[in-house]
Amino acid sequence: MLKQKALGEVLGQVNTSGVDGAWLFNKEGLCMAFVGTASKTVPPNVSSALLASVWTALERRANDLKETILVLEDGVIAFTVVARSMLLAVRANKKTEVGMVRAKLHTVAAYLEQPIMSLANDQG
Amino acid sequence: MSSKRKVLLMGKSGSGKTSMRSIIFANYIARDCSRLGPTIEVEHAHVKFLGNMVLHLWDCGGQESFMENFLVSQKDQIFKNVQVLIYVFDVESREFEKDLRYYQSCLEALLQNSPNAQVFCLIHKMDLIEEDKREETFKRREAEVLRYSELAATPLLNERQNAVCQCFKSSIWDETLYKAWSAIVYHLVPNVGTMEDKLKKFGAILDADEVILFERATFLVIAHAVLREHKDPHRFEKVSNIIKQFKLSCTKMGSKLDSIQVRNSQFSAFIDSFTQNTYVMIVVPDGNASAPMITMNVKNARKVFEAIETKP
Repeated sequence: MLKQKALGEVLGQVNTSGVDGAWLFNKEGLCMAFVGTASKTVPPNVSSALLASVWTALERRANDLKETILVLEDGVIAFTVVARSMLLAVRANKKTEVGMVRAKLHTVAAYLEQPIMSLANDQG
Repeated sequence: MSSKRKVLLMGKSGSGKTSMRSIIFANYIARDCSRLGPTIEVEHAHVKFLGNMVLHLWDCGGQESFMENFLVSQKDQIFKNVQVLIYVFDVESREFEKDLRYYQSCLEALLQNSPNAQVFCLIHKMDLIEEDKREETFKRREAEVLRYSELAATPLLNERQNAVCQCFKSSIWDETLYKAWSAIVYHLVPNVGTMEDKLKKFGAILDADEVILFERATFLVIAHAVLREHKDPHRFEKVSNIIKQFKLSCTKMGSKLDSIQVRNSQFSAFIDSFTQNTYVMIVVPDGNASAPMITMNVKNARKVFEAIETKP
C-alpha cells in the first residue's frame, strides 16, 4: 500500500532553495502524487504524462536510461526511474544549480526505492 | 457451512414478492414489474451470490389455494431445510389480520421443520403511503407482526431463538428495497466480521472516510467500514440503486462497468471492480486525491480479500 499523505511529506522535503515541485508517476504517465506550486496552465497530471512520454521516447533510443535533465527557458526538470516501474521528477527555477537538483533527485529516489519495490512485489 | 441456502419468499398474492426478486436478482427495473403475472405454485430460482454461495430462492405463489397447499400437503417439502424465510406484507392490504394469520401458520410450520431458520418481514409498497405517515404506519404494522411472531413461537418456547424476526419497510420505487435486502444478505454471508476488520484497516491506510463492499451482480452492500460518520443513513442504498441502474444501461450498450470516479472540491469517490464477486467504493475527503494511487492500492488489497472470500 502507498499512503498518499506519507508520500506527500517525503516529496515535499525537496521543495527548498529554488526547487518548487516534485512528482511521482508511473511509466504510463499516471500521476501518483505532486507536491509544490502547480503551474496554472499545465496541471500536474498533464505534466507527468508529458514527462513519461519524454522518458519512453528517450528510453527507446538509449538502453538502460538512468536519468534525464531538461534545461528549459525558465527552469530545470530532472527525472529518474525508481524501482523500475515509477518515475520521480523534480522541478527547479533557472537560478538553481543543476548539481543541487540532481543531488536532491537522487536522494529522494534512493529513499523511495525500497518501499516502491516492495509495492511492485505485492502486485505480483 | 453449506454454501447452498434455501430462501423462502412468501406472502399474500400481489404483495410484490416476484417483483422484488426480479429487481434484485434478475436486473429488472421497477417499471418492468407491471408486466409480471401472478406466480403459480412455486417458482425456483438459483442465484449465484458471492461466487461460491448459491441462494436457492423459492418464490411461493400467494393465492389462498396455494397457501393452503403449502401449509397442509406440501408442508414438509416446503419448510424443511430452510435457512431464511422472507415474508412480504402488503402495507395497503385491507385484510391485514388475515395476512397475519397466514404468517403465523407459516411461521409455526417453519419452526417445526427448520428450527434454525432466520425470519425477515418486509412491509412492502411503502410508496403508497403518504410520506409523513410512513413511519407511523410502519411502526404499527411492525408491532402487529412481532405480536404474531410471539404467538407462533410460544408453543415452542425452548427452541424459539429464530422467531424473533426483523421487520423492514420497503418499496421497489426507492432505495428501501436495497436496504432491506442488504440487511438480509448481511446475515447470510460468512466472514463478514473479518471483511469489515480488513476494510477498516484498508480505509485507515487510504485516509478514507468510508469503504464499502458491494456484491457484483446485485450491488447489495456486503460490508462497510465507516471511519468518519456521515449524516445520511440511506446513502448505501441510494448508491446501490443508482449504480445498478447505470450498470444496466452499460449492459445495454454492450459494455461492462469497470470503475467510476466522482469528485468535487470536498471529496473524491472511487468505485472500482474488486474481487471476482465484488465492487469496492472508497470515499476520500480530499478533492485532489490521486486516482492512480487509489487504483494501485485497490489492486494490492485485492489479494487479501480474495483469500477471505474463498475461505470455506
